[in-house]
Formats: sequence, structure tokens, C-alpha cells
Amino acid sequence: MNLPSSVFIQATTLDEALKARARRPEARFVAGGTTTIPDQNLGRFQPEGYISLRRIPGLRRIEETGDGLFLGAGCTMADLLTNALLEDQPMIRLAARTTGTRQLRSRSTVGGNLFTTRTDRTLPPCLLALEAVAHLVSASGESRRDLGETLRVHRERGAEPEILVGVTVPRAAGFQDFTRVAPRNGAGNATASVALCVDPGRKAVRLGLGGAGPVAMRALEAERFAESAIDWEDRSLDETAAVEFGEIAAAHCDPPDDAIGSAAYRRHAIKVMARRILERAWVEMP
Amino acid sequence: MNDDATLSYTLRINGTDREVRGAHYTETLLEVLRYRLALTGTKQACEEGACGACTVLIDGQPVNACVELAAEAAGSEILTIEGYNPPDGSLTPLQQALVKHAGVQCGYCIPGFILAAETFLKEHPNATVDDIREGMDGNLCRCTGYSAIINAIAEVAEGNHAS
Repeated sequence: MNLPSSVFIQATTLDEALKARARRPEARFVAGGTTTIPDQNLGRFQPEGYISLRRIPGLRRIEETGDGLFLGAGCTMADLLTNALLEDQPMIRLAARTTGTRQLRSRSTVGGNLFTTRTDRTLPPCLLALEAVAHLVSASGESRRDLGETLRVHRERGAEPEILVGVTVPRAAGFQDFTRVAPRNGAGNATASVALCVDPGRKAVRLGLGGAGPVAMRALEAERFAESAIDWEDRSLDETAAVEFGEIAAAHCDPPDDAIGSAAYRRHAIKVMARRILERAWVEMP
Repeated sequence: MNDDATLSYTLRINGTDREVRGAHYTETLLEVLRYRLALTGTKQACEEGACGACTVLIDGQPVNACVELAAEAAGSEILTIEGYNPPDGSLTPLQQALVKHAGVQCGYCIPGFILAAETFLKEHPNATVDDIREGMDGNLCRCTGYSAIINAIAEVAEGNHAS
């Protein structure tokens, strides 16, 4: 058994984790550890305490609710690939399959993928396109927020004393798929990625982008354009509209410039991938 | 060093309880296995979960020991390569296949490959070569070019299929 320590806390309740964080604001929450521990090992940061969320029951819950499918923040990519409730969630399954390696998928969590400060993770753009809602808890209570806003706020204000409990993925109809460019063909981080949902019933187009800004984001301008450009009655899409869709998505993002890829490369990749995936949506629409 | 930053705990490794005393809370399972418990069959390489040389099984799941805090593994069943073989020291069918196909050159990646492949075959007993190539995406080998290793794993899967 562990001796009591003020720098390594294995919380067993959300309340305990929040109180530990209030006592030690410099401590990091850690769940799977697949981003934090390499950063520690390679000297990218000096740990000043860890608060482990792994032993909090309920964070690994996957269940159908009235609002859709709830995925606990502590669910691993392996859980997403094996849990039968995700059999009709092809995009989440694909994102999980392309995350990390098999060993990392045993540990890498939904919450970690969303709240890592990296923009190259595959799951966040998919959850944004699926219009997932974030469930958070802080000392002042529980709240539900738009996931995109939650990611932006987290990035801008830094680590808030709140914990992601999970996300609810509303039931989706129509086309959904995800594509990416990456340094290798196998699983791993993406240089840039796009996730698209097209729901003819709601006349809705949702485009999530990864590697397009400081955090994963929705391409709202491109979505609005596509929704008006699509002939929903005829279920048709003008060829030039798909091209413009890609151009608008690329024009309204702010991709990072780093050793993996230049901003110009990412912007071009987003333009091409957004066009192709929208074209494909009309061919493969169920 | 701040005493509060050190921990003592018990790790259950290869069916035996091993006491760890006064380990810093940031020590990884890889560091504790190799440098505190002298279980050096688990190999150290990339330290960022990319290469799979440090693969161990925790509660039956393949995990990179280099990205696992050792204190987090307390309370779990850990299997390292030292605990993999039957007590009489005989080779498992997977090891025999690796020998037959010359899947081992320098050998540094092999403990990780064996543990990862063993769980993969347990979950996918009739895996095809394509399945195996994807399923072994967490293990890098810089000697063999992979074909010999993949062929060895495929032979075990074919044996499963035949039996």
C-alpha cells in the first residue's frame, strides 16, 4: 500500500481529486499518463505532484442515456474498440483505432485525448463533428458545456480546477467519417485531420478539424456554406461547391507551424481532405 | 529529496509480491523493474511509449512500462518476460516459431514482441497476416525488417486455426 504523500494522490472520488488540486494547484491530473509521463521522462516538464484519476469509479463508464451515448473520461481507446455499445459508432471506433499503438491504447483515455495541449490527436475532431457535450465537475458543482468551447477555454485559461467526467455523443444519422494525414500510415498522431458528419434529416453538416489551430475546432464557416449549397431535396451537391467547402475550411483555420509540418502544408491538406470527404459523403450516404 | 515525494508499495510481479521502499513518486514501472528489482528482461529504449521494448502485461493488457508510473501498478497483476515461460523453462509455441523463422537478431525488442504477440493471439486466435501487422503496431524492430517476426506469429495463429 502506498504511504500517504502530498505530491502523489490516488483520488478515489471526484471531490477528493478537486480538493487535492485546491491544496496543490501546481499538481497535474493524470489518468492514462501516455502524454504526461513521456513529457516527464524526456524532461519537457518538471512534475510538481500528480493527482491520479484512475481509481475514481464511474470515470470509465460507457452507457446509453436519453441524450445519447455517454463515454466516461477515463475510458481507454481499447475500451472504445471493444465495448459493444460502440458498434454503431464507426467514426469513434476509427479514431480510437488510429490513436497511439496497441500498448498506448490500453492506457490512453478519452479525457487525456481531449485535454492534452496537443492538436494532433485524432479523437477530438471526431467528437466535435458528432456534437458531443462535455460533462465537467468543479468545486461549484456539475456543468454541461459545448465541447468546442470547453477545449478553447481550457487552452486559453490553462488548467482550470475542474475535471472532465465524460462526454455525451448524441445519436447521429447519415454519413460520418474521418480522415487524416500523418507521418506514418499506421496508427499514431495526425499532422492534420478532418471529421465530417452529414445528416440529411436535420439538413446539418458538421466538420471537425485537427491540426488546424491550437486545439481541435469546428469549421463553422464551411459548415454554413455547405448547408446552404447542398440541394437537400434532390440530395445533390455541385462539384464546385465541394471545392469551395475545402477552400473555406482552409481559409478559416490557423494551423501550427512545426517540425512535423508547415502551416501551409496543413492548410493545404485540410482543403483537400475536406473537399474529398464531402464528395465521398454523397457517394456513401446511407 | 523531499521525503514526502517518496513512496513505498507492493507490486505483484509474475505471481510474487515484491516490496518497493522509498521510490520517488515519478519513477516509472520500467525504472522500478530494472533498477530496483533487477528484472532487466524488460528493455529500456525510447521512454515515450513508441517502441514497445518495455512492454509488460498489466492485468493481461499490454502496456508500455516506460509510461506507467510504478505506484499506479500497485494492486495489479504484472507479467514480465521473466515470468512468461513455463516453470520447466521450455519454450512456448511462439518462442519456438521465432527460433524457426529466425525472428531474433539482436534480440533487444523480443521480450516486448513476445508479450505483445501473446496477448494479441489470445484476443485474435485466428488472426491473418494483415491483422498481425496492425496488431503489432506498438513494437519496433530495427534488425529483422519484421517479416520473420510476423511470419512466426502467423504460424502460431495458423496452428490455432488448424487445431
